[in-house]
Amino acid sequence: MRTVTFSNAEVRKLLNQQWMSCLTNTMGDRNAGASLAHAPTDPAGPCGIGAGRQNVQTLFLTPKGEIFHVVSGYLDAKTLLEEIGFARQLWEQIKTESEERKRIVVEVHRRRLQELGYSEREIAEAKTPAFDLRLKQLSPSDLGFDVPDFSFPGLPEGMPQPFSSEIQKWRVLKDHNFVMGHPLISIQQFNRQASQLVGEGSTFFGSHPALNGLPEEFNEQAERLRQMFKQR
Amino acid sequence: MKLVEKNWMSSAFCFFVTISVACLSAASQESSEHFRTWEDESGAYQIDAIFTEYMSGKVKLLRRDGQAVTVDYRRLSPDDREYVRSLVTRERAKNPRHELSEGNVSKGGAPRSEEDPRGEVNSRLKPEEKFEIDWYGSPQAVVASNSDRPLIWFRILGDIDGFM
Repeated sequence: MRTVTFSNAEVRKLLNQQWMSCLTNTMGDRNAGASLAHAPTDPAGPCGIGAGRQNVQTLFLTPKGEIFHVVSGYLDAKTLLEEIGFARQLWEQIKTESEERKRIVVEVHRRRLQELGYSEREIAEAKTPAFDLRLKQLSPSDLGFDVPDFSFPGLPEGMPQPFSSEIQKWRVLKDHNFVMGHPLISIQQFNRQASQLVGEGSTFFGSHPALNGLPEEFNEQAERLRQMFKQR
Repeated sequence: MKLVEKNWMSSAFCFFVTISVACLSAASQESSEHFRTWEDESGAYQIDAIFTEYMSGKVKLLRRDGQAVTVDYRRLSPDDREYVRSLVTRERAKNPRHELSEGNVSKGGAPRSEEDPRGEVNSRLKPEEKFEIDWYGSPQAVVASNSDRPLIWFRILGDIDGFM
């Protein structure tokens, strides 16, 4: 994010002129999950959009601190600009006080999912325990870790590979679904229930915490995969 | 006359000694109030040090031998965390809208939401420029600023300076 996204002139301009920007460190927060260890001095490599979803969470809020859009995972400049554009349009529709604001937020997110090609059935499924179970079963290799056979050229060891399109699709669905389930939730509510709202370990915004994998288990799984590939 | 002068000198000397001892005693008392034993969460590690600064989840201490030590706030014992929290609260009460500077308690950085000893509203109400972007230290600080612009909040695991 630092070397790519925040270096983009358009991103800088929008963040400074249209938004109030805030940056916090979630180190130690339960809802931040855990990532495979790598040193801060590791060289920056290409990172799949949405990868490292517990490493980076982007939230869009009204000036009063009500959440109206969320995105989990790393965002390159182009994707962040798209998300900012979507959020800006939504903000224009809800900036005046009205009882309709929550309904508008839900409707705009639903429309966005439809525009992205999601069916009504897929949107409805994202709320079900079956969907969360699918997320729970994601392995490190599903999430782009330790897949030497398909490694991105020049990517340092241990760095996440780009997400598969299927996982990326789930991520987008889950993130939009989070806001549709909690339209305009306040920052105080978010902070109080963050682990319930965001999910822990290996899931996206709004995944059920009881179904999440523990980071330790996830790292053990990654280590087993690493050993397996070494023995080949 | 000589006797009087001698007595006067003697009295002055005693007075000087008394004042010096009192001053030393006061300084020593003040110093001993600041020096305290700090303990980690497990109780296995202890050091005698003075609190110098809280910044971005790190507590800076100064040992008796003059060596500076930085400790993760969350690694401190509950008592020590409470102590830091009380210092921060006291400092905030003194300077409610003041950006707490080095040597006081805090200077910007990326705060944590729940365990941050500064409480829900971060003391950094002024943005800090980084990568040519103005950043606020917490969403609550932005809300408190009464801006009419919407807010974009990046929650990033780790220090952004070490992030890709």
